[in-house]
Amino acid sequence: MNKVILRSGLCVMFALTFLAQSKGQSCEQQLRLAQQYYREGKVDLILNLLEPCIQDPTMDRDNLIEAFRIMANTAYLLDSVSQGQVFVEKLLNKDLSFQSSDRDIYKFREGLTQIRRSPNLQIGFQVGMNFSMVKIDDVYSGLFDPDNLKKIYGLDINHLVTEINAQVGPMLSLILIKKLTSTLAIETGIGYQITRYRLYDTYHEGTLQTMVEDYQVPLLINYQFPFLLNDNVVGLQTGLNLSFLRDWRHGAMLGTDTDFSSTELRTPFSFNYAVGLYFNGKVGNLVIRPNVQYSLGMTPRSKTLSDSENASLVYNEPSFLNYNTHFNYVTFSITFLKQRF
Amino acid sequence: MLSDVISKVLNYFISMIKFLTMAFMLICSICVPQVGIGMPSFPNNELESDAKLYRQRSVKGIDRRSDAFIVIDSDLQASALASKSLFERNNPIKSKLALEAFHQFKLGAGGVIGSPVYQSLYQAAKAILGDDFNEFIGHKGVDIKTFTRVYDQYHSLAEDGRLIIWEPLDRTYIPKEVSERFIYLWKGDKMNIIESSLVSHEISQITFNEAYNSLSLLKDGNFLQINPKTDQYVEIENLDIDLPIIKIFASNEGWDIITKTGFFHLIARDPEKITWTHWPLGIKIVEAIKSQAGYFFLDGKQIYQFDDQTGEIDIIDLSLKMSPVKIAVDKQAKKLAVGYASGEVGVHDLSNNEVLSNFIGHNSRISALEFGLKNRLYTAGLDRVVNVWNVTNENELPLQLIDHQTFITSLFVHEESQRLVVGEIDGTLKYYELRPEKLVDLLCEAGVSPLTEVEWIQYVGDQLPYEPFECQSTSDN
Repeated sequence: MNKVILRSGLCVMFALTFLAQSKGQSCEQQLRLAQQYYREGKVDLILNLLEPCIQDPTMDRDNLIEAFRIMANTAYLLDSVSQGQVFVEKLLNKDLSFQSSDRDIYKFREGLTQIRRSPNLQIGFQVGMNFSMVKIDDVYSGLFDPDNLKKIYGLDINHLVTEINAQVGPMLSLILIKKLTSTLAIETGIGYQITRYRLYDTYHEGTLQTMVEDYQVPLLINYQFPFLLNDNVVGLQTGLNLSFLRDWRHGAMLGTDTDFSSTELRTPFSFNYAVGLYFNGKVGNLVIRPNVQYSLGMTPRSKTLSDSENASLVYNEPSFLNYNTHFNYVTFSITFLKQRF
Repeated sequence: MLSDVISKVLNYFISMIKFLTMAFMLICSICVPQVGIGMPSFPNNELESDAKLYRQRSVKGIDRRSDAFIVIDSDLQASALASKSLFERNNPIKSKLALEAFHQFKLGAGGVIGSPVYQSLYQAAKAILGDDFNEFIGHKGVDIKTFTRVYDQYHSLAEDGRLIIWEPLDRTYIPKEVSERFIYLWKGDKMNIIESSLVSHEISQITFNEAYNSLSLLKDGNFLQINPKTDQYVEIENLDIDLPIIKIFASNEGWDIITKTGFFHLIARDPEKITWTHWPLGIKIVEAIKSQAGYFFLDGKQIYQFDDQTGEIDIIDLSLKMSPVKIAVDKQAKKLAVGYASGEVGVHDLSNNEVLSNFIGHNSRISALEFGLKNRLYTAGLDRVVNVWNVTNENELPLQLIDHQTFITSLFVHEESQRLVVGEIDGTLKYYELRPEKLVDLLCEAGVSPLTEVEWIQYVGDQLPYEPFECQSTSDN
């Protein structure tokens, strides 16, 4: 009984394989016929001839690309621009690095360039590093001599951060880019970033490592320049980077035993104004996007403190935070994007 | 042992066959010098296609052997000589035979010159003057959108917005390119390029009226009207038309703009007085032409006549075949030609809508149609062939122009100079002298000598007296 089932199964599989293969061969023949029709100018016969083949899952990838190419050329030739665009989109979804040739008509080549420049959707993974750039506008400057005075508003000053050195921190993101117009797109996603600083406390003559962990959601508008550099795109981006504080950690200060913890000094939610420049380079079926972005901190503090509270927090803890501290950083990243047209 | 004997016998037979074949070919080449057995070895595809053309079109019953030319009918004689010229690879004799074919044709019935004779003159001119002797070389890889002749210049605007003005120089045309981002103006008889006074624009269509005012459709969808007398231009912001524009025509007072579904009349006397009149048409236009009898539109199934004064649109009751794709109306608006996706062309009498003639000469979609004077109809298809038909006689074979490598997309006939310009989808523009005398002049200017007496006997035969064609001014210009 088992042998019968096995034999029957094998027969069915064989038959299906044979059918699929013969269907594939038939589509290959249809494609050759379509190529001949195209050469002879019998373009009215091509779309109907190839339509079943582009639905055929067994069709060879190269043949499918060629079928889309002929169909797109035909549609443009018959002044059916929207239909031509659909075939070009399908073609690019199969082969992002497709190159047109002299045998393709101008409208096809132009359509290919335009569509290639602005994919409908791009999904990708971004990895990079940031360099913190903190600027302190000390509101108490001039109120005391940092070398000698140890009191402000009647409070004893225990710490005075006079120097902050930028450190390198990692960042990872998932990115989603949706086309708005032929040159504009909106970019969003979700990411994780660590910003690192090295502080120098003049009073304690020691350094402290600070590490801020954020979840980030970018809300950016991308503008792609309306030209291509060997099929690659250069663009500008601007918008907001929304930051959700995950943690704020300090390492031990050298030369002191202070264990600082003041997460309330940084808002759980903050946002940065971001401006960036990117280059979309096609490598096979992927797009690799090197990107440089500058983020300008817009929300320095969560609480409005009185002067004495502020002085107490700022100067009795080894923090560099005050009213006007700007948490800026520059990000260098590479994004691996998959484009859908 | 046995195998050696068999092998020797086989070798002997093979040698014999080789020898007999060579001997036969030698005899044939002596007796039938030009054609014979070696005839099908054409030098290239072009000649092969010419040969095919001749085989299709030549008069039945002609044997290609030389001694068959004893048939003394000058038209047949001309065709036979023309076909010999087409087959011939040797340039001097090719040209001599082409001229002689023309001469025999003139001695005979005359009338409309047939394909073999025209083709032989054309191919001879190509062989002597170069492949591009009749080309406008400038646009590459891009379809031509507009091609017009004004005075002795042509101008062509391609899909990529590149505009070229062609100035005559000897027998060729020299391109004077106008960058796609500049507008040009007409001043009197001459065209001047104004590069600095105007902001940069990319043109996608351009039309002229009789005063050489031009209206350009810009790629951003707006319009620009230029007055050549004052150098003033009016930028017209296009808030009214958001559909693809099919064509723009000059009208008495302004411009008629035909979109896919509507007709717009634009008057822009000055920037403060821009008026739009809009007639929605209720059809989806794929082709629009203007004639003395008004506008004719094609929507893919029916043909309509539109009165731009009243805005009325009427269906023309014609018995059309499947998939009409191109239409043309003659100068007197008496005949309407319809080109079909099948390659057929029907000509209708507009007074009673009856079919006058049907022409079957293309095997793929008609891509351009144009009426000419003297009942000529020019048709081009995606089969890369241009046919010139006699509208009054559907049985008359057309003059075929087959020197095209890519799809033909446009035709432009200039009756005054008897010149046909054919545009291909890859930007190739070729002109054809419709008067074969001009081709004869070109060959004569190139120094083609008459057939010698020996050549006469060899190619024409000894049944006719030796009276070869001798070059003199044949064109009346």
